[in-house]
Amino acid sequence: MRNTQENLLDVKRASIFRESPRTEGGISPDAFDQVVRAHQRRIHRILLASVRDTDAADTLTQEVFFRAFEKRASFRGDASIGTWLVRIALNLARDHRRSRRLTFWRRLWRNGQPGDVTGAASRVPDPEPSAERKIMARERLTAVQAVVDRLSHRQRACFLLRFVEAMTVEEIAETLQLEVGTVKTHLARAVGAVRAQLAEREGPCEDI
Amino acid sequence: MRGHLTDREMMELVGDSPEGETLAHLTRCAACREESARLRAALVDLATHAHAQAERPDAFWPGQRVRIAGRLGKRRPLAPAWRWAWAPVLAAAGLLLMLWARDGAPPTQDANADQALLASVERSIHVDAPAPLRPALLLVSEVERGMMQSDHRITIPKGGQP
Repeated sequence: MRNTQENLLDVKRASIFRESPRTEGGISPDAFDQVVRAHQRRIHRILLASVRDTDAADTLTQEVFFRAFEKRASFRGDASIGTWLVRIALNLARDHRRSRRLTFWRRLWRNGQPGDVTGAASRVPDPEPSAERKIMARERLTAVQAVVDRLSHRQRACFLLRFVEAMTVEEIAETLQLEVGTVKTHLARAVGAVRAQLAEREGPCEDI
Repeated sequence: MRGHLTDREMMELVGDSPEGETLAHLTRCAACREESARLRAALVDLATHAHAQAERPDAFWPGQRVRIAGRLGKRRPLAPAWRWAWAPVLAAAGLLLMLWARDGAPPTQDANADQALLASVERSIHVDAPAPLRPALLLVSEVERGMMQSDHRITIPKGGQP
């Protein structure tokens, strides 16, 4: 839960955005830097979880704040800056994934070789040889990540915001501008996909 | 006797917002207990991994802010007071151009153009006139020619020599 001081700070930052178009000389670099400083880690984490590419997450994080600055006049202040930035980030992640998919198909068309499709295994650090349980956990993680990759944009967004960012269903609904019931439906489908993957890998759970 | 938990119930269960009926089912069903524990563990691993992957050295974040500020510095818009300053300047330049174009052109060209237009209209009138009206047109043109000659007649002062 956020405390009162954080809420006040967010209100102050929101006023920076709302008032900056009318401010003589525009928003000051220091004021905008406060907004970046407050949100950059979370935005970076959401982007990394969504695109799973460190360089892309860094570039897209910069792009989020750049776009936020450019479009600050459209920030109405009816949501928090954090919500607004997450919305921008998720839209950018969606566009990035689309363009990456296109790049993949182009490369496949040119070379006739798909290469590493998921790339998940190569991004997970090498496991400790002695820890069999860790190996299994890592394999399961890779499998779950592959399932998340195959989800639709909205299902993935809902899933990551709920289970990585620990946002409530209501917060997700506000961020994605969806009904609460719709968010629950997306979450249920995403969880269903993960359940199916786990059951396929590890077998169904038996009644005792 | 109900079946196992649905996806929605499982989602609410692992999301820490299960309903009473779901919890009651869980106490009776070992399969759902085991599955929910497995799912929860997978989700916890996913979140832990995502947070760990997003960790960066302390120097990374100020560096990123510098890069963002650098990009914003390049694209910083003009101050609002000067944003529309180009509009009156452009309007004044356009007005000056129009005045120069009107005053600077040689007048003889306009006169020649008018004369040529008049001649072509006259020619077309003469050509398009029906045959019965052509004598009348001839008469009109003779009268006009006579008037023009009278305009250019040399006036002789009284008592002077022609």
